[in-house]
Amino acid sequence: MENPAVEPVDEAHLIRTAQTGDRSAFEELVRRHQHGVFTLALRLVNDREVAADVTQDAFIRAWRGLSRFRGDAAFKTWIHRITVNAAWSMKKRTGRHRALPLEGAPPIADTTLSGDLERAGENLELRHRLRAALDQLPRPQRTVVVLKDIYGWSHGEIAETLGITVTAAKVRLHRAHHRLREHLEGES
Amino acid sequence: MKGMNARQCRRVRWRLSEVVLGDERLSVADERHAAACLSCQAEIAHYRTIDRAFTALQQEVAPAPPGLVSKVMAGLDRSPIRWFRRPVAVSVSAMSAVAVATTVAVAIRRRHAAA
Repeated sequence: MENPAVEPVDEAHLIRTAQTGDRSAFEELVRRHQHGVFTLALRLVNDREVAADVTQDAFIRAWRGLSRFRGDAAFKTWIHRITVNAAWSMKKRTGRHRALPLEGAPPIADTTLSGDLERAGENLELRHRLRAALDQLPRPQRTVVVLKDIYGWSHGEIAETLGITVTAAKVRLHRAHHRLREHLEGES
Repeated sequence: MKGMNARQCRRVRWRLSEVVLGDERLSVADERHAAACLSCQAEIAHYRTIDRAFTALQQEVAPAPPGLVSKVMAGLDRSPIRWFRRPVAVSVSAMSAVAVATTVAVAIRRRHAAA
């Protein structure tokens, strides 16, 4: 879905064109990144309807701030940071927290179609249990876990984006890991 | 000596999550303890399982709802979503209602007091 190898137009060229106000170039960027942004939003807000709103909001913010994008980081990194901000401010302002477990929603597709059925089954079971455990975490802890453990952000990036200190990010992560471990142990 | 071992074990186990899932390192003494301690080994095994699950989660993609691109493009000229609109409206109405109720209650009390 986001495989640059098969994309006919270079992303840097698309960004430069979109920065001149070209909507069709921006539309192509949205098309390429919609699934990645939606996946991140869904992981953060845990509700497909709200995740769609967050995705839309993130792209609108990106369009408005496109002139400030200098290309120091990849576009994907930039739009993901905007998505986290959009999800964070939405939650902070409305307090909306409709807890809809991800397993109740249409399934997230596994992009690795492994021929090893036993391993695939084990992965599925693990993912299911971890998702359930993530659902139990308070929102601030869940956010840092998603960003650090699934998206590989550094403590510094998390702290900067969420407006907290690096120590606070580390403490949240540490507490979240212990909660996850307790939840998974209690389950087995 | 036993008490010291128990304390060391608790301390090491507390830190193992960030050693397995993060980039923290144990001291040589703590590493030696973890290698020989069954509780610590069990803890390490738990966190390795969690680590594998995270790796598996990284492969997942949730397809965006159909029509999302069109919605985004149609929304470019609109303001970003104002998430706070409704709560603010609700809280302003609620505050107004409370203010009116308080004024009426005070007026009634004063009238009763005067009578």
